[in-house]
Amino acid sequence: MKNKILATCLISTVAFSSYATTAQELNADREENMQILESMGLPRFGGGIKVVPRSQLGLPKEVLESGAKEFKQRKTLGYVEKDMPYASKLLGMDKVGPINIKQNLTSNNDQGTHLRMSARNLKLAFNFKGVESDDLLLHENNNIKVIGVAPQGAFNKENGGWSGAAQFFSVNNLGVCSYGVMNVKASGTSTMLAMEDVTYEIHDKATLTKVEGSKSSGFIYKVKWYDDVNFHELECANSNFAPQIEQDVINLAKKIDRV
Amino acid sequence: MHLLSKTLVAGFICASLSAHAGLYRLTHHSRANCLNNESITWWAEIPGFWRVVSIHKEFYGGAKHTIDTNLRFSSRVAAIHWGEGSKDMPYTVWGYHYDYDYSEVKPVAQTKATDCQIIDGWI
Repeated sequence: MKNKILATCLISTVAFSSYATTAQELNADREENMQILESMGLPRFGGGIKVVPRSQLGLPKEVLESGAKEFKQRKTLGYVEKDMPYASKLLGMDKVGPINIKQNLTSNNDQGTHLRMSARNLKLAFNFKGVESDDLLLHENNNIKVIGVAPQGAFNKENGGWSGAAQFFSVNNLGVCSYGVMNVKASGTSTMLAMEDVTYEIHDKATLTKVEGSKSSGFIYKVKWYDDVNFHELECANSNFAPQIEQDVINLAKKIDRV
Repeated sequence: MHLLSKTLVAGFICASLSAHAGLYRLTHHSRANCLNNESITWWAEIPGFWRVVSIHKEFYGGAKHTIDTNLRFSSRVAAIHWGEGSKDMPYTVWGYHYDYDYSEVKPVAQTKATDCQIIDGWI
Protein backbone atom coordinates (compact mmCIF):
# COMPACT_ATOMS: atom_id res chain seq x y z
CA MET A 1 0.00 0.00 0.00
CA LYS A 2 2.82 2.38 0.99
CA ASN A 3 4.53 1.61 -2.32
CA LYS A 4 1.35 2.47 -4.24
CA ILE A 5 1.04 5.84 -2.47
CA LEU A 6 4.72 6.55 -3.08
CA ALA A 7 4.38 5.67 -6.77
CA THR A 8 1.31 7.91 -7.12
CA CYS A 9 3.16 10.81 -5.48
CA LEU A 10 6.16 10.25 -7.72
CA ILE A 11 4.05 10.15 -10.88
CA SER A 12 2.18 13.33 -9.82
CA THR A 13 5.46 15.13 -9.12
CA VAL A 14 6.94 14.12 -12.47
CA ALA A 15 3.74 15.07 -14.29
CA PHE A 16 3.58 18.45 -12.54
CA SER A 17 7.23 19.27 -13.16
CA SER A 18 6.95 18.34 -16.86
CA TYR A 19 3.88 20.59 -17.14
CA ALA A 20 5.77 23.42 -15.40
CA THR A 21 8.63 23.02 -17.83
CA THR A 22 6.18 23.14 -20.75
CA ALA A 23 4.55 26.31 -19.42
CA GLN A 24 7.96 27.88 -18.97
CA GLU A 25 8.90 26.87 -22.49
CA LEU A 26 5.69 28.39 -23.82
CA ASN A 27 6.43 31.71 -22.12
CA ALA A 28 10.01 31.61 -23.36
CA ASP A 29 8.73 30.90 -26.89
CA ARG A 30 6.31 33.84 -26.74
CA GLU A 31 9.00 36.19 -25.44
CA GLU A 32 11.42 35.01 -28.14
CA ASN A 33 8.70 35.64 -30.75
CA MET A 34 8.21 39.18 -29.44
CA GLN A 35 11.93 39.81 -29.82
CA ILE A 36 11.84 38.49 -33.40
CA LEU A 37 8.94 40.84 -34.22
CA GLU A 38 10.67 43.81 -32.59
CA SER A 39 13.84 43.07 -34.58
CA MET A 40 11.63 43.33 -37.69
CA GLY A 41 10.57 46.82 -36.60
CA LEU A 42 7.01 45.78 -35.78
CA PRO A 43 5.04 47.36 -32.92
CA ARG A 44 4.77 45.30 -29.74
CA PHE A 45 1.59 43.54 -28.64
CA GLY A 46 0.29 44.69 -25.27
CA GLY A 47 1.75 48.19 -25.71
CA GLY A 48 -1.46 50.04 -24.72
CA ILE A 49 -2.85 53.13 -26.47
CA LYS A 50 -0.24 55.58 -27.73
CA VAL A 51 -1.09 58.88 -29.41
CA VAL A 52 1.91 60.07 -31.41
CA PRO A 53 2.66 62.27 -34.43
CA ARG A 54 1.88 60.48 -37.70
CA SER A 55 5.56 60.61 -38.61
CA GLN A 56 6.26 58.23 -35.69
CA LEU A 57 3.77 55.56 -36.83
CA GLY A 58 6.33 54.12 -39.24
CA LEU A 59 3.70 53.95 -41.98
CA PRO A 60 4.75 52.37 -45.27
CA LYS A 61 4.88 54.61 -48.35
CA GLU A 62 1.71 53.19 -49.97
CA VAL A 63 -0.38 53.84 -46.82
CA LEU A 64 0.99 57.40 -46.53
CA GLU A 65 0.25 58.14 -50.19
CA SER A 66 -3.31 56.81 -50.22
CA GLY A 67 -4.00 58.38 -46.82
CA ALA A 68 -2.76 61.83 -47.88
CA LYS A 69 -5.06 61.71 -50.91
CA GLU A 70 -8.01 60.71 -48.72
CA PHE A 71 -7.19 63.45 -46.22
CA LYS A 72 -7.55 66.10 -48.94
CA GLN A 73 -10.91 64.69 -50.01
CA ARG A 74 -12.20 64.75 -46.46
CA LYS A 75 -11.30 68.44 -46.23
CA THR A 76 -13.12 69.34 -49.44
CA LEU A 77 -16.02 66.84 -49.65
CA GLY A 78 -16.46 65.87 -45.99
CA TYR A 79 -15.86 62.23 -46.90
CA VAL A 80 -13.42 59.97 -48.73
CA GLU A 81 -14.65 59.29 -52.25
CA LYS A 82 -14.26 55.60 -52.94
CA ASP A 83 -16.28 52.56 -53.91
CA MET A 84 -17.36 50.84 -50.67
CA PRO A 85 -18.71 47.31 -51.24
CA TYR A 86 -19.01 47.06 -47.45
CA ALA A 87 -21.75 49.72 -47.52
CA SER A 88 -23.89 47.56 -49.83
CA LYS A 89 -23.07 44.49 -47.75
CA LEU A 90 -24.09 46.19 -44.51
CA LEU A 91 -27.25 47.67 -46.04
CA GLY A 92 -28.25 44.16 -47.14
CA MET A 93 -27.72 42.68 -43.66
CA ASP A 94 -31.34 42.96 -42.57
CA LYS A 95 -32.23 40.58 -45.45
CA VAL A 96 -29.12 38.33 -45.45
CA GLY A 97 -28.66 38.13 -41.66
CA PRO A 98 -31.82 36.16 -40.79
CA ILE A 99 -31.12 33.71 -43.65
CA ASN A 100 -27.56 33.07 -42.44
CA ILE A 101 -28.75 32.62 -38.84
CA LYS A 102 -31.38 30.11 -39.98
CA GLN A 103 -28.81 28.18 -42.07
CA ASN A 104 -26.56 27.74 -39.04
CA LEU A 105 -29.11 27.22 -36.28
CA THR A 106 -27.97 23.63 -35.70
CA SER A 107 -24.24 24.41 -35.97
CA ASN A 108 -22.23 23.65 -32.85
CA ASN A 109 -18.98 24.85 -34.40
CA ASP A 110 -17.68 27.44 -31.92
CA GLN A 111 -14.96 28.48 -34.37
CA GLY A 112 -17.41 29.15 -37.20
CA THR A 113 -17.54 32.79 -38.32
CA HIS A 114 -21.25 32.68 -39.17
CA LEU A 115 -23.86 35.00 -37.72
CA ARG A 116 -25.61 34.11 -34.45
CA MET A 117 -28.88 35.35 -33.05
CA SER A 118 -27.20 36.89 -29.98
CA ALA A 119 -23.89 37.04 -28.11
CA ARG A 120 -25.18 34.25 -25.87
CA ASN A 121 -24.74 31.90 -28.86
CA LEU A 122 -21.13 32.96 -29.35
CA LYS A 123 -18.21 31.48 -27.39
CA LEU A 124 -16.32 34.56 -26.26
CA ALA A 125 -13.22 35.08 -24.13
CA PHE A 126 -14.76 38.22 -22.63
CA ASN A 127 -18.07 39.78 -21.66
CA PHE A 128 -19.62 41.49 -24.69
CA LYS A 129 -22.32 44.09 -24.10
CA GLY A 130 -24.27 44.82 -27.24
CA VAL A 131 -26.92 47.45 -27.80
CA GLU A 132 -29.72 45.19 -26.59
CA SER A 133 -28.09 44.85 -23.17
CA ASP A 134 -29.07 48.42 -22.30
CA ASP A 135 -32.80 48.84 -21.83
CA LEU A 136 -32.36 52.61 -21.70
CA LEU A 137 -30.63 52.65 -25.05
CA LEU A 138 -33.39 50.57 -26.61
CA HIS A 139 -36.01 52.79 -25.00
CA GLU A 140 -34.39 55.97 -26.30
CA ASN A 141 -33.91 54.40 -29.70
CA ASN A 142 -37.00 52.25 -29.98
CA ASN A 143 -36.33 52.22 -33.69
CA ILE A 144 -33.32 49.87 -33.23
CA LYS A 145 -33.76 46.33 -34.54
CA VAL A 146 -31.03 43.81 -33.71
CA ILE A 147 -30.04 41.52 -36.62
CA GLY A 148 -27.35 39.27 -35.12
CA VAL A 149 -23.82 38.87 -33.78
CA ALA A 150 -20.65 37.58 -35.48
CA PRO A 151 -17.19 36.84 -34.11
CA GLN A 152 -14.10 38.88 -34.94
CA GLY A 153 -10.44 38.63 -33.97
CA ALA A 154 -9.07 35.18 -33.15
CA PHE A 155 -10.44 32.06 -31.49
CA ASN A 156 -8.33 30.76 -28.61
CA LYS A 157 -9.63 27.73 -26.72
CA GLU A 158 -7.28 28.34 -23.76
CA ASN A 159 -8.57 31.91 -23.38
CA GLY A 160 -12.21 30.77 -23.59
CA GLY A 161 -13.15 31.66 -27.16
CA TRP A 162 -13.15 34.59 -29.58
CA SER A 163 -11.27 37.79 -28.71
CA GLY A 164 -13.81 40.05 -30.41
CA ALA A 165 -17.42 40.31 -31.53
CA ALA A 166 -19.62 42.56 -33.62
CA GLN A 167 -23.34 43.14 -33.38
CA PHE A 168 -25.40 44.12 -36.42
CA PHE A 169 -28.57 46.19 -36.11
CA SER A 170 -30.69 48.56 -38.14
CA VAL A 171 -31.68 52.03 -36.99
CA ASN A 172 -34.55 53.95 -38.56
CA ASN A 173 -33.36 57.08 -40.40
CA LEU A 174 -29.71 56.09 -39.90
CA GLY A 175 -29.19 52.83 -41.82
CA VAL A 176 -27.69 49.48 -40.88
CA CYS A 177 -24.90 49.49 -38.30
CA SER A 178 -22.34 47.19 -36.74
CA TYR A 179 -20.88 47.70 -33.30
CA GLY A 180 -17.60 45.78 -32.96
CA VAL A 181 -15.41 45.24 -29.91
CA MET A 182 -11.90 43.83 -29.62
CA ASN A 183 -11.11 42.88 -26.04
CA VAL A 184 -7.64 44.08 -25.11
CA LYS A 185 -6.84 41.29 -22.63
CA ALA A 186 -8.09 38.44 -24.82
CA SER A 187 -6.43 39.68 -28.01
CA GLY A 188 -3.30 41.37 -26.67
CA THR A 189 -4.04 44.19 -29.11
CA SER A 190 -2.57 47.65 -28.76
CA THR A 191 -2.53 50.72 -30.96
CA MET A 192 -0.56 53.75 -32.06
CA LEU A 193 -2.80 56.61 -33.19
CA ALA A 194 -1.88 59.65 -35.28
CA MET A 195 -2.42 62.66 -33.00
CA GLU A 196 -3.34 64.77 -36.06
CA ASP A 197 -6.56 62.73 -36.43
CA VAL A 198 -7.45 61.93 -32.82
CA THR A 199 -10.36 63.67 -31.12
CA TYR A 200 -11.76 62.83 -27.71
CA GLU A 201 -15.45 62.98 -28.65
CA ILE A 202 -16.53 59.73 -27.02
CA HIS A 203 -16.39 60.46 -23.30
CA ASP A 204 -12.83 61.86 -23.47
CA LYS A 205 -11.50 58.60 -24.91
CA ALA A 206 -9.16 58.67 -27.93
CA THR A 207 -11.53 58.71 -30.93
CA LEU A 208 -11.21 58.47 -34.72
CA THR A 209 -14.04 59.33 -37.12
CA LYS A 210 -14.28 58.89 -40.88
CA VAL A 211 -16.85 58.75 -43.67
CA GLU A 212 -16.04 56.79 -46.85
CA GLY A 213 -18.11 55.91 -49.89
CA SER A 214 -19.75 57.03 -53.09
CA LYS A 215 -23.25 57.73 -54.39
CA SER A 216 -23.26 54.42 -56.28
CA SER A 217 -22.03 52.16 -53.46
CA GLY A 218 -23.37 54.03 -50.43
CA PHE A 219 -21.42 55.44 -47.47
CA ILE A 220 -19.87 54.03 -44.29
CA TYR A 221 -19.86 56.31 -41.24
CA LYS A 222 -17.17 55.05 -38.90
CA VAL A 223 -16.37 55.91 -35.28
CA LYS A 224 -13.58 54.13 -33.38
CA TRP A 225 -12.80 54.73 -29.74
CA TYR A 226 -10.35 53.17 -27.34
CA ASP A 227 -10.08 52.36 -23.65
CA ASP A 228 -7.91 50.03 -21.59
CA VAL A 229 -10.50 47.22 -21.63
CA ASN A 230 -11.87 47.29 -25.18
CA PHE A 231 -11.27 48.84 -28.59
CA HIS A 232 -14.67 49.84 -30.03
CA GLU A 233 -15.87 50.44 -33.59
CA LEU A 234 -19.28 51.65 -34.74
CA GLU A 235 -19.96 51.60 -38.48
CA CYS A 236 -23.24 52.66 -40.04
CA ALA A 237 -24.10 52.31 -43.72
CA ASN A 238 -26.39 54.79 -45.47
CA SER A 239 -27.11 55.38 -49.14
CA ASN A 240 -26.49 59.12 -48.75
CA PHE A 241 -23.90 61.47 -47.36
CA ALA A 242 -24.94 64.17 -44.89
CA PRO A 243 -23.00 65.80 -42.02
CA GLN A 244 -26.07 65.30 -39.81
CA ILE A 245 -25.85 61.51 -40.27
CA GLU A 246 -22.20 61.67 -39.18
CA GLN A 247 -23.21 63.54 -36.04
CA ASP A 248 -26.04 61.07 -35.37
CA VAL A 249 -23.61 58.15 -35.59
CA ILE A 250 -21.23 59.89 -33.14
CA ASN A 251 -24.17 60.46 -30.76
CA LEU A 252 -25.11 56.78 -31.05
CA ALA A 253 -21.50 55.82 -30.22
CA LYS A 254 -21.70 57.98 -27.08
CA LYS A 255 -24.87 56.16 -26.00
CA ILE A 256 -23.35 52.73 -26.68
CA ASP A 257 -20.21 53.63 -24.72
CA ARG A 258 -22.37 54.49 -21.74
CA VAL A 259 -23.53 50.86 -21.50
CA MET B 1 -29.41 50.63 -58.20
CA HIS B 2 -32.28 48.34 -57.15
CA LEU B 3 -31.03 45.58 -59.47
CA LEU B 4 -27.47 46.09 -58.22
CA SER B 5 -28.66 45.82 -54.64
CA LYS B 6 -30.58 42.59 -55.41
CA THR B 7 -27.54 41.13 -57.16
CA LEU B 8 -25.31 41.96 -54.20
CA VAL B 9 -27.74 40.39 -51.73
CA ALA B 10 -27.99 37.24 -53.90
CA GLY B 11 -24.20 37.08 -54.16
CA PHE B 12 -23.82 37.47 -50.44
CA ILE B 13 -26.31 34.68 -49.75
CA CYS B 14 -24.27 32.42 -52.06
CA ALA B 15 -21.11 33.37 -50.15
CA SER B 16 -22.91 32.54 -46.90
CA LEU B 17 -23.80 29.09 -48.22
CA SER B 18 -20.16 28.30 -48.91
CA ALA B 19 -19.32 29.61 -45.40
CA HIS B 20 -16.07 31.53 -45.62
CA ALA B 21 -14.01 32.41 -42.57
CA GLY B 22 -14.16 36.11 -41.77
CA LEU B 23 -17.58 36.23 -43.38
CA TYR B 24 -18.86 39.21 -41.43
CA ARG B 25 -15.81 40.69 -39.74
CA LEU B 26 -12.01 40.60 -39.78
CA THR B 27 -10.78 37.26 -38.39
CA HIS B 28 -7.35 35.70 -37.89
CA HIS B 29 -6.26 32.05 -37.89
CA SER B 30 -3.25 29.73 -37.78
CA ARG B 31 -2.97 26.06 -38.56
CA ALA B 32 -0.14 23.56 -38.36
CA ASN B 33 0.71 20.20 -39.86
CA CYS B 34 -1.92 20.12 -42.59
CA LEU B 35 0.16 20.04 -45.73
CA ASN B 36 1.07 23.69 -45.23
CA ASN B 37 1.91 25.62 -42.06
CA GLU B 38 0.25 29.01 -42.21
CA SER B 39 -1.28 32.06 -40.57
CA ILE B 40 -3.96 34.12 -42.24
CA THR B 41 -5.97 37.32 -41.87
CA TRP B 42 -9.17 37.74 -43.85
CA TRP B 43 -12.46 39.50 -44.21
CA ALA B 44 -14.59 38.17 -47.07
CA GLU B 45 -14.54 40.70 -49.92
CA ILE B 46 -13.44 43.60 -47.67
CA PRO B 47 -9.81 44.52 -48.37
CA GLY B 48 -7.47 46.37 -46.01
CA PHE B 49 -3.76 47.08 -45.44
CA TRP B 50 -2.67 44.02 -43.47
CA ARG B 51 0.55 42.22 -42.62
CA VAL B 52 0.93 38.74 -41.18
CA VAL B 53 4.09 37.21 -39.69
CA SER B 54 3.95 33.45 -39.13
CA ILE B 55 6.62 31.93 -36.88
CA HIS B 56 7.19 28.17 -37.21
CA LYS B 57 9.09 25.84 -34.90
CA GLU B 58 9.66 22.09 -34.96
CA PHE B 59 7.81 20.73 -31.96
CA TYR B 60 10.81 18.79 -30.59
CA GLY B 61 13.27 21.68 -30.54
CA GLY B 62 14.73 23.10 -33.68
CA ALA B 63 15.23 26.67 -34.84
CA LYS B 64 12.37 29.03 -35.57
CA HIS B 65 11.85 30.61 -38.94
CA THR B 66 9.44 33.33 -40.07
CA ILE B 67 7.17 33.80 -43.05
CA ASP B 68 6.38 37.49 -43.55
CA THR B 69 3.74 38.71 -46.01
CA ASN B 70 4.98 42.31 -45.68
CA LEU B 71 2.26 44.91 -46.11
CA ARG B 72 -0.50 43.94 -48.54
CA PHE B 73 -3.80 45.50 -49.56
CA SER B 74 -6.16 42.55 -49.86
CA SER B 75 -9.18 40.83 -48.31
CA ARG B 76 -7.01 37.77 -47.60
CA VAL B 77 -3.41 37.98 -46.45
CA ALA B 78 -1.74 34.63 -45.79
CA ALA B 79 1.77 33.75 -44.59
CA ILE B 80 2.23 30.22 -45.90
CA HIS B 81 5.11 27.75 -45.85
CA TRP B 82 3.99 25.46 -48.65
CA GLY B 83 4.43 21.75 -47.94
CA GLU B 84 6.10 22.21 -44.55
CA GLY B 85 3.15 20.68 -42.69
CA SER B 86 3.46 17.39 -44.56
CA LYS B 87 6.88 16.59 -43.08
CA ASP B 88 7.18 13.86 -40.44
CA MET B 89 8.18 16.39 -37.78
CA PRO B 90 5.23 18.22 -36.14
CA TYR B 91 5.37 22.00 -35.93
CA THR B 92 4.02 24.76 -33.71
CA VAL B 93 2.79 27.82 -35.62
CA TRP B 94 2.30 31.29 -34.18
CA GLY B 95 0.59 34.04 -36.18
CA TYR B 96 1.03 37.77 -35.53
CA HIS B 97 -1.45 39.98 -37.36
CA TYR B 98 -1.14 43.73 -38.02
CA ASP B 99 -3.62 46.31 -39.27
CA TYR B 100 -2.43 49.54 -40.95
CA ASP B 101 -4.33 52.73 -41.62
CA TYR B 102 -3.35 56.36 -42.26
CA SER B 103 -4.46 57.15 -38.70
CA GLU B 104 -3.41 53.99 -36.90
CA VAL B 105 -0.97 51.10 -36.64
CA LYS B 106 -2.36 48.18 -34.68
CA PRO B 107 -1.01 44.75 -33.68
CA VAL B 108 -4.51 43.29 -33.81
CA ALA B 109 -4.36 39.55 -33.04
CA GLN B 110 -2.14 36.63 -32.07
CA THR B 111 -2.92 33.07 -33.11
CA LYS B 112 -1.30 29.73 -32.31
CA ALA B 113 -1.76 26.22 -33.67
CA THR B 114 -0.26 22.81 -33.08
CA ASP B 115 -2.72 20.93 -35.24
CA CYS B 116 -4.70 21.12 -38.44
CA GLN B 117 -7.75 23.11 -37.50
CA ILE B 118 -10.23 22.91 -40.31
CA ILE B 119 -12.40 25.98 -40.05
CA ASP B 120 -15.14 27.41 -42.20
CA GLY B 121 -14.10 28.04 -45.75
CA TRP B 122 -10.36 27.54 -45.26
CA ILE B 123 -9.10 27.08 -48.80
